[in-house]
Amino acid sequence: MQRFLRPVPALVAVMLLAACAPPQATRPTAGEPGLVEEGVAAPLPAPDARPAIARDPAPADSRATGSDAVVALMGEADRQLVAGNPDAAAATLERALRIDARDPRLWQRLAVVRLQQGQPAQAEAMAVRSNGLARGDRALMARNWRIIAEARRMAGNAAGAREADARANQLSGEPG
Amino acid sequence: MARRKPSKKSSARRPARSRRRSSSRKPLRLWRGLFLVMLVGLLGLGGYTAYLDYEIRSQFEGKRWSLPARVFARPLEIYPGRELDRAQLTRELELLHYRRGDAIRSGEFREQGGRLILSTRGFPFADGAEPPRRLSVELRDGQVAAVTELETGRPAALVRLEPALIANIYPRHGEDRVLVRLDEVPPLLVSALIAVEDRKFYEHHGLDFSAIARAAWANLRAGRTVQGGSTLTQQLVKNYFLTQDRTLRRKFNEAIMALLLEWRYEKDEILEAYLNEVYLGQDGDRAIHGFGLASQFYFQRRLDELHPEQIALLVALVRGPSFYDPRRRAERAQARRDLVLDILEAQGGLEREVVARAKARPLGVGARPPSGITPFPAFLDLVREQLRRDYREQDLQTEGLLIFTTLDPSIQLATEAAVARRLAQIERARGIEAGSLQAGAVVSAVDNGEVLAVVGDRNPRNAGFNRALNARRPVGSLVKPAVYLAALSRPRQYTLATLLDDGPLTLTLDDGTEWSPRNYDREYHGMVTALDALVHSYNIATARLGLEVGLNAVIQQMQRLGVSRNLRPYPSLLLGAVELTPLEMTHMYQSLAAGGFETPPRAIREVMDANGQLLSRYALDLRQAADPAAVYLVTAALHEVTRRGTGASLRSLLPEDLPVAGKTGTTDDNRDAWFAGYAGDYLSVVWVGRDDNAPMGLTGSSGALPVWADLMKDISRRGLEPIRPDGVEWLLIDPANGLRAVEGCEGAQWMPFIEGSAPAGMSPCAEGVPAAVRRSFRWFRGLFE
Repeated sequence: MQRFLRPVPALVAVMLLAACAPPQATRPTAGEPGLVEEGVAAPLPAPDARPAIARDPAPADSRATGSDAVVALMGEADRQLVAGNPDAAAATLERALRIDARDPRLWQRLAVVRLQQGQPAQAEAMAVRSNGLARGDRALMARNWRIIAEARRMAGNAAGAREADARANQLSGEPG
Repeated sequence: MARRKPSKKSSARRPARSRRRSSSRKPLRLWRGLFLVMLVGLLGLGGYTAYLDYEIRSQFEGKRWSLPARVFARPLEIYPGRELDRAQLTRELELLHYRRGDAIRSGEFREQGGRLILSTRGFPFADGAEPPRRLSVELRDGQVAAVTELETGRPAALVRLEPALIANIYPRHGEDRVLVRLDEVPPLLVSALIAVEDRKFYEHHGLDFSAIARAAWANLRAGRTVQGGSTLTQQLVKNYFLTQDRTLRRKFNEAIMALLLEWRYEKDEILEAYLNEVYLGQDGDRAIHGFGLASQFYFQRRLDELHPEQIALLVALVRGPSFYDPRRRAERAQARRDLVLDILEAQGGLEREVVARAKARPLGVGARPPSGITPFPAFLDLVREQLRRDYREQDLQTEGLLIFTTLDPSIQLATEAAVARRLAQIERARGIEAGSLQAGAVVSAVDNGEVLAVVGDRNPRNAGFNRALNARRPVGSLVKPAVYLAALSRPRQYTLATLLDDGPLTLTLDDGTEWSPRNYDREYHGMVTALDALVHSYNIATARLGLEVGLNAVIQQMQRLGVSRNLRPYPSLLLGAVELTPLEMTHMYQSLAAGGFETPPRAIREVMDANGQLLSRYALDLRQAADPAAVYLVTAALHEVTRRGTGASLRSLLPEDLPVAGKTGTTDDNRDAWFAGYAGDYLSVVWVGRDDNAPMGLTGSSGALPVWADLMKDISRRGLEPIRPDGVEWLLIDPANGLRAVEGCEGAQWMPFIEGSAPAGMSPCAEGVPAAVRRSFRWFRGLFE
């Protein structure tokens, strides 16, 4: 366990440097033609053929969230983590997630905290969740794959770790 | 009145000493005998005193008070951008017993234009103290527009109100108190107490002989006991060993113990103990001890928020909480309160005008005491169930633990209201016997699995059978999403466009019996897409699909989604012949709502000990339970359910800009009505049925859905917006053949497909591509042969 925990502080440092950038909204604009809203006649008119959820969601920065609050809590969590208090950092990040659970940076930080807490399975799940929300932010996804690689090494899954590292390299444009 | 420093004790005060009497000249033998008797007496007295000393010390120092656990709701977080309207915020403040006022004192608020000015109390949270602050909260369009700290004029990024106390965990018969430190007690309370009860408190050594003499004289003149001469120290001793007997021995013990206490401890320690110990009221089996709790019990305010006349009333009650009970004997209580105010004025503790104003005020005691019993018994059941895994019941009742839960009081109240209102309305509209329907409901946060509300009875204050947690009922079609998820997790074999056979099906089971599932409408629907089969909840098509995928695969899928109960691989499982509780269904749907990540429903965030030390944290726990892309497909289908399927009536019940996903469930003979569904923020599961399990003539759609709709309309502010996993694409499909369609094809439907799983062929309805049509039919035949 010791051996695997060692690289984590370095990882944290990398993340602290890199994580201040907001997630990039690189989602392409809607390709399919939107449907004209039908008149709301009679009791229950036929619904639009195309459900609302099939339309592309609004870009990340237009969503109404408590972004100042989240930034404040992220800073707090980073301080707590650096101060060697991962439990407090986890609590702070969970508090931030209650405000905006769609911010992939929060899930990523929580993944790092779980690594520090020695919970590789949780770390991987959090990183996967962060990836699901990354919306094409390759740098963020690359960091998530590094976390996954670390988590797998911690869990004794060397082959899986190599695979994850390869994904990370691919995303950050480095040779595998 | 300034408190005097306690004087230093001198050894001369040792009460165990006894003066030696001089003896007259007597025969030696007699002298000897007397000496022996005295020695034995002295030794006996010394021993007895030592015993009393031990008793009083263990009372005073040992575990002084057993404190019930306090259970708190989640604190309200206020930050710019948060969905919050004025009604919600004021309701929250009222739950915290904030008063309308000038908002200078803590615990007060006022409305000013579009802003709310409030003075918070602050709270020592496990992850850091929230300081008391004066704030201006600007609300606009149902959102917090700005939060400003009035002291500095600077914007605040994030503010936490103190959490509302929602329950205490007591022993069945017990004392209750809220501990206060001496420095938290208003000086006026201390001076009033001393002025009225023990004028020489800071001078005497435990007993006040002049007071005893005064009392004796007064009692003699009156011919009965009208005045007591006990010091606060004696009263404290009396409270420790609460018995009502007034024997001489009792009095003697009391006196010795009072002297011992004074000898061993500082005045301020004794005073603080007194303030927390004194008996000040009764609430059923619960004895109200100490000024901290009395302040809440009578005024629902913190001690430091009390006005002079309220302080005076509490001091008045010391003499006899039952005799002067302000709720039952208001006049008597008021007379004594005014007497206390007079004494304060006479001794210079209060100005004449202040006293005049205070006397003019009513008692200000709420008609009914705030219940020591929780208003949210169903939620508390869940809290206790989760606590029981880590804590002993006895510790919960005595250790003064602070339990921070996930309960959202606004959502809890909204859920209770939706259940009560809709059940009554359904009974009226359908001629069902009033009061015969029952319900269970659970609301949780989609993103982290926190349980926000639990209703276990249509009368939410009933602490009886908790249907949300303990009513195991057949779940009917609520199980179907797990069947489809198991299938759609194999995108090479199944998509939402896959055609399923909804024709007659008969299966011979292992025991030789035959099983022939039927549809609710008793019709057969021929070949239907998987999407339509789920949207319209067709039983036969679903049973065929489940049998193809395999019963064990379906069971595994359910278990990964969080159903931990042992499930038997009978085909009827596919149609929901499995008995589960609303909470278990919440767990399963939680995993779907969270995009395939399983999170156990959590009701507790943290537990702290009485000193504010963190004991346990219940951290967010995540497990990937399914392929997010397959879950996305299921969510899309469940969204269709609410647009044109068994849940289509939601379109007239919910605002158009609040897309949701959900599933109805109905069991044989309409005994159980279920609805489980989620928006972008909340998930809720509702069960409606009868306790005697009799048919009630309601379906999931007519019985449970209306409750769910009312609830979500009230609480949900974020519509369904599932994250579309990479590679998932939406395509138009002709449901007649499961092939790709184009705009203009009649009846064509949009469906999402996992990367590489979309049908390649074009439906004949797409004009002018005969080659594609031919290809598609070849592909289609190949798929099903």
